[in-house]
Amino acid sequence: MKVLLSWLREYVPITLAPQALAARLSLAGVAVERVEAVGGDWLFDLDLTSNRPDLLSHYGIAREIAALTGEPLAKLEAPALPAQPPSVTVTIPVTIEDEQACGRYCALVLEQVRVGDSPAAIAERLQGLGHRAINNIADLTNHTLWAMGHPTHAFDADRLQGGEIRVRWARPGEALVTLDAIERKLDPKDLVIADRERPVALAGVIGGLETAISAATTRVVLESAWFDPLTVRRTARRHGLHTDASHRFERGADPEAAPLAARLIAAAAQAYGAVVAGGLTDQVGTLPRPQAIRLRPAAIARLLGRSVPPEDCARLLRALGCDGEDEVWLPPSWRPDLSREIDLIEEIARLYGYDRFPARLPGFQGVAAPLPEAGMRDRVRQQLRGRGFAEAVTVSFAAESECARFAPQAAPVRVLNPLSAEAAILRTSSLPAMLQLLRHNLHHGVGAPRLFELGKLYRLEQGKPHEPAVLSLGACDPGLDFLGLKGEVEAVLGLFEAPGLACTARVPGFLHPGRSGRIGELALFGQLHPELAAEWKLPAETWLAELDLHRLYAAGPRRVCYTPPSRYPASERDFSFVFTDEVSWARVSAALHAAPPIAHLAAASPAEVFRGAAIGEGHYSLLVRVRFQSQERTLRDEEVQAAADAVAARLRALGGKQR
Amino acid sequence: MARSAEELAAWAATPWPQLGLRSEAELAAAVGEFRAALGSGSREFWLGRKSGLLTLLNEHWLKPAPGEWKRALGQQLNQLKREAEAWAEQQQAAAQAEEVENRLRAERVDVTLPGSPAAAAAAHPILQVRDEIVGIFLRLGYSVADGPEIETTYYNFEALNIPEGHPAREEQDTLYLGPDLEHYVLRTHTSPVQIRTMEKQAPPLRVIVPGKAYRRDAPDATHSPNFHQLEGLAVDAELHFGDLKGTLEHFAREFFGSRARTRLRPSYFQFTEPSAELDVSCIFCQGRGCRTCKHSGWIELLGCGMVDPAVFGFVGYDPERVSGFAFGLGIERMAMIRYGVEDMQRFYSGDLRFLEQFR
Repeated sequence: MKVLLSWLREYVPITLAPQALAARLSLAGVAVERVEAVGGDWLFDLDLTSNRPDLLSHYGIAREIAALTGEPLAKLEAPALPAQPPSVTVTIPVTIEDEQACGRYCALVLEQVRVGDSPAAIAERLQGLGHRAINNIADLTNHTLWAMGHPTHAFDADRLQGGEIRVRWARPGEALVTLDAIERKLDPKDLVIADRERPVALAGVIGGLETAISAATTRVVLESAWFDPLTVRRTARRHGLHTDASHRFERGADPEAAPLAARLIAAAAQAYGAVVAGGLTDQVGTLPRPQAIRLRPAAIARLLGRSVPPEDCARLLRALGCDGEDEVWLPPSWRPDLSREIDLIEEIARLYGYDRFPARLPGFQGVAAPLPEAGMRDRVRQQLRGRGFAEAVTVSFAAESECARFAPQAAPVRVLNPLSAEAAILRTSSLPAMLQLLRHNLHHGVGAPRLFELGKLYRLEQGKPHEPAVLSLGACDPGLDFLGLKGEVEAVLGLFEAPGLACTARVPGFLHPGRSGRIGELALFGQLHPELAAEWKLPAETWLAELDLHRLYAAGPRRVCYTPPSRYPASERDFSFVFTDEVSWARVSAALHAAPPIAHLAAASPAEVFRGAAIGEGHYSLLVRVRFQSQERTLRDEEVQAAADAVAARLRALGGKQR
Repeated sequence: MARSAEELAAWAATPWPQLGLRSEAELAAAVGEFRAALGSGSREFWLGRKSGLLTLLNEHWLKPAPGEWKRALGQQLNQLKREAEAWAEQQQAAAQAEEVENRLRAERVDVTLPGSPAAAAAAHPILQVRDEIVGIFLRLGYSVADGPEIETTYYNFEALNIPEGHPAREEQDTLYLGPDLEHYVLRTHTSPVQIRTMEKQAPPLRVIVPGKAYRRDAPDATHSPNFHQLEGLAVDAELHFGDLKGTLEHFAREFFGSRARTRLRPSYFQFTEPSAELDVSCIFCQGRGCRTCKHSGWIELLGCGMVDPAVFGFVGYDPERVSGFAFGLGIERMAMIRYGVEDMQRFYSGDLRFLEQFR
């Protein structure tokens, strides 16, 4: 909201320089965003909080300044309506259907109105605030709004059928063309101002076009009412409207201000030659009534850390319009936010000055515990960073079509009001985001990106949302191949007490069928399917992995099992065999380690794998390196030989041919 | 005139009787000639077992020499041998030293060339900042908690004193979920975890909650629909506004350095009262005023306040017996201030040219 310094000065003496005033207001919770000199005046741009409808006018800000500076605040009074000759005594009948929704309705009739331009003083003020001058009547309602905060509305009385006002709920099928020339279908939960026949305004939000003041208008019905905040809010939202009136009614207008606003406008209209035809109609329904609040000095000291002298408390509360003394205070009608002791304590604290309460670093007894998985999480991060994977953070949104390719089974959580189709769901796979990061880097000339992200997936399971933690890896690095990637995955799994699960080649369609693996439910990794890579404009050798951190955290960190290194020398033997392709390393290893154990076998590893014309189609050559060692003594040659014979026998049993 | 190597060898191989040495002085002079030649030739030439000069001298001079010459000749030759050995040893050491020196010279590198890139990559700046802030509060006795990002409207709003239809609810720019998740939203702040923690734990408690939060803000230099927050909550028998100030002052000095000053400005949040914004003296201009702080000398840091008694009501705490404070900060904002990052979107790009700078 914007206010002019000259206008504020009508209500309160201001000696502070504009910048100093801005700082003082900001430090009391009335945030001044900007101060600028405008044509000999100063314009203050305020960022007000939604709990302070009372500040939404010059008078409201002036009251705050008065409370802060101790200067006297001018009284806001309207002259009594002049006695009218009986011949022109006209009032307008008002009926209210729902006294909760419309707590008060004041109306009066202005006759002999001559619609024209506003006097320069008024037009300039409105323009100074950035508003357009419309005509003298409309400008008067706006001027009053910016002066003292209460929204009012002027109808062309001759266009109100039946010469009456009915505040009622809209009826099914009713419509209204509002001032913005849009026809709006009304909802039965819209409170409307109607004449005898039809709605003429959306209560507290916007007027109707047909009954608006025009150059031809000579009789005006002026409305100054109080509407229920929630009712106005729902109607404004339903119709996508946000007006100066709805902004105030939604936050809670001052019910006592309604008749005052009407009188102020009537008095000003008289200066234009209009005649106030009759008295003010004032229908009062159910209004919020301020309740007395008990304010205990002990509670102030307990919450703020020091006491505030009672005379200071009383002075500050009175300056805000509270009525009372010592421990019992009645808040003013314009402060719907004051209903509890804590509300008064906050008022005292902010006006007294937050800087006057001494700081203290409080002591504590107890234990500060990190998240249970924090240690494991940070081990994973360190491990991967040490391996050259940079840590990424992405947003959780994804396009449904992208995720569907990577996690076709997962039921996504959908956003009802997404910012875009690319952010329509929460991701069910971490991999599309990873591919985007890789692509971004490649497009920007980063040669061999390696990235990882610790994030979450989001999916519905039995109708309930779940957010399992995952780790994703991605690389477009010529230095990486399948076994390299598998090594990275295994190194991460190795941080956990994870069961030693076999790696299988059963992988989903988005991965290269021959260069991808799965380790139980814990890890899925491999080369992106080349067709998909082409579609994503990524290199054919794009490597991906997704690990289920949720399961790994549950398994816990790896427990170290120590065995002393043998004091005796080991013997190594190499075995060169040709196998058919069906005999995987997993089968070879399983055969060597099967019961009964081969005596003194300490380790067996694939030293070399070779495929080629010399070996023959469907076959490969495998060099198995076996280590024999004893914890008790140096092995004799014949013992090693016997064990080596057992190894060779088992390799032959797999169908292998020794070379 | 010194004799050549060949002449020396021939002389050493000359049998004693033909030498014609007549006195000890002549003998000493003869051996002296050999001694004078030390420094040339090789170890083999002097000390070789078969045909080294000393072997030859032993063979041809000493062995056939008559008894009265043997003692003096033996002493002279022994002396010569010791000297030859010492010379040879010195010679060898010098050769070795030269060899080492040559090798080191050959292995020399240009130390001004850049080092090979180390494999280690950077932690993400947002998470570095998160971890640093978590560390500060862990040292103050705060435990770490977390909670779901897909949150019920009860925890995200109602229990935080933001009832349905309240303007504060719309100011949150909530992202709603559905159609089958009517009572859920994407949490608009990490504050729901305050409620979840208080429901589970009796006071006193101190907890911080780092995590993702969501708002319906189109992405730009200072907004992201998905960002990171860190929430703090302390509840105890006698916590007051001064404790909130002291705690946040301490935090600001730990994070920005001991010269950082802070101030609290009144503000409004539904779940705290009194509420405040914490400003820190501009770290770029030390409060003198610059573009970053819009010439105010202050940078707005976070929102905070004393826990509203209504919130205690939702979790069954008695506001007459306990009090507390809460604060919530944007981690991106802290990282932007710390590193001078001008565009929030950089954090989510995964751009290694950006990320690598935070090593």
